[in-house]
Amino acid sequence: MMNIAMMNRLLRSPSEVAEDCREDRDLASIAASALVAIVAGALLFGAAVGSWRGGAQIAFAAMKLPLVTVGTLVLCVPAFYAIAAVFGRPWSLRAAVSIMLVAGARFSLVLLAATSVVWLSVSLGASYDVVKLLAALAYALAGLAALGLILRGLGPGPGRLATVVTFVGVFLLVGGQSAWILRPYIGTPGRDEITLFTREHEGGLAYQLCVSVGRLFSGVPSPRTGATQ
Amino acid sequence: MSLRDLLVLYGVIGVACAIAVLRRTPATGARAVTSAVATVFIWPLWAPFALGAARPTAPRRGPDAASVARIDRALADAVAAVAGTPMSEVFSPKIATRIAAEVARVGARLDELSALTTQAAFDARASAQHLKDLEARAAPERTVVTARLQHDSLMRLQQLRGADAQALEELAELLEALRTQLLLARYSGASADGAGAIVGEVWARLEGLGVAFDVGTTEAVG
Repeated sequence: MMNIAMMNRLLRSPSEVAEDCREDRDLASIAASALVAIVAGALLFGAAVGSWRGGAQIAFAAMKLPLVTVGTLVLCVPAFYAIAAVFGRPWSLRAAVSIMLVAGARFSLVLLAATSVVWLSVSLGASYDVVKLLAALAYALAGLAALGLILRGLGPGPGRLATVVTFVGVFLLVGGQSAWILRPYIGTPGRDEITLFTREHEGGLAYQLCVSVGRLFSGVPSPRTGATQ
Repeated sequence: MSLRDLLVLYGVIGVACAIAVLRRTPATGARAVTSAVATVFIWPLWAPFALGAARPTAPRRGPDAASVARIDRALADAVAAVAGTPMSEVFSPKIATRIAAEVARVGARLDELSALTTQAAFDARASAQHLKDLEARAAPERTVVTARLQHDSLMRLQQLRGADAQALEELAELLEALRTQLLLARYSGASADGAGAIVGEVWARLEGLGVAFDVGTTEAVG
């Protein structure tokens, strides 16, 4: 069950939640609520993104986004624990994992807030590139919200910036690659079929974002439906 | 090692952790099964909480340590009193943990406030003396008004701290009453309705403590 009071605290008093994590206060309850929030937020955002293509893509994207988020956390938690210890914060594993989880929960809550915007843009007939950039923007905002909580979790003291910069580098690399492996989420423009995974070589994530920005600003027509006309 | 090998290894560790969770968890039924299933898939994220014990907290040394210790003891007794009975729905270990966490937070803030009021800059007696000196040497009215405001704020801080310490003590009394009520219900076979009402009262008082602190902090800063 999602603990609404906990979600409320996560949004209104992130410093307090971060302190609870560091001090090992009621961590099992915090972790359980955070995990539920992570899955629920990513699932709904995934469904909204997948609705551009419609049909089975909604279910596929709703299933894959929580998988990417949780999978990235699973891979990055040991790195966070080690990086924090190296830069002067030798926390317990429980404290390090709980800080990651509450940051992930904040990330997912921001995605949840952006879900209606994505859904509305899809309903209004937004192109593939607009939806893709909206999703990237939502992810960036969510990432900033999560970063704020991690910074509060690290607290003051030397090594804070080094910890954050190193960890963000690791997280972006792992998260970006995990997301890229499990694509597509929006759907493949110009394709009738809906596939769970794509096997095509489409360049990297950064390259695809640049292509979308280029298409939007150069006036080249952007795909408006998932299928070829 | 291929991706498949890694996934198999991940799954094996997950199943081993899940078995450990099922054997060690104090929860029963669906809750224990959910925890074990979650452990299979996300053991790096969940196993530290499902298997690890909370770090033992250092004994408190602040002026409210006695009240907090009484509350912790009463909570532990109350949980033990309802263990294995239908009354555990009225007062579950989870509720006790949350109350203990709230009390710990309130206690920590009280300690901060105590530490603050012992600093020279927040000494109400010194500010009273300062005010008296200013009035005695007929200092400008504006200076006296500012000094009076400072003194009043410090007095208010002290009053707030005293009121909250009193509230914490009353909470300890309430939780001891709850423990006795639950024990009575357990051994006499009576209904635990009275205990349910006390649990509600406990939450109301905890919320009251939180509100008092927020207002106090705002006033002290403003």
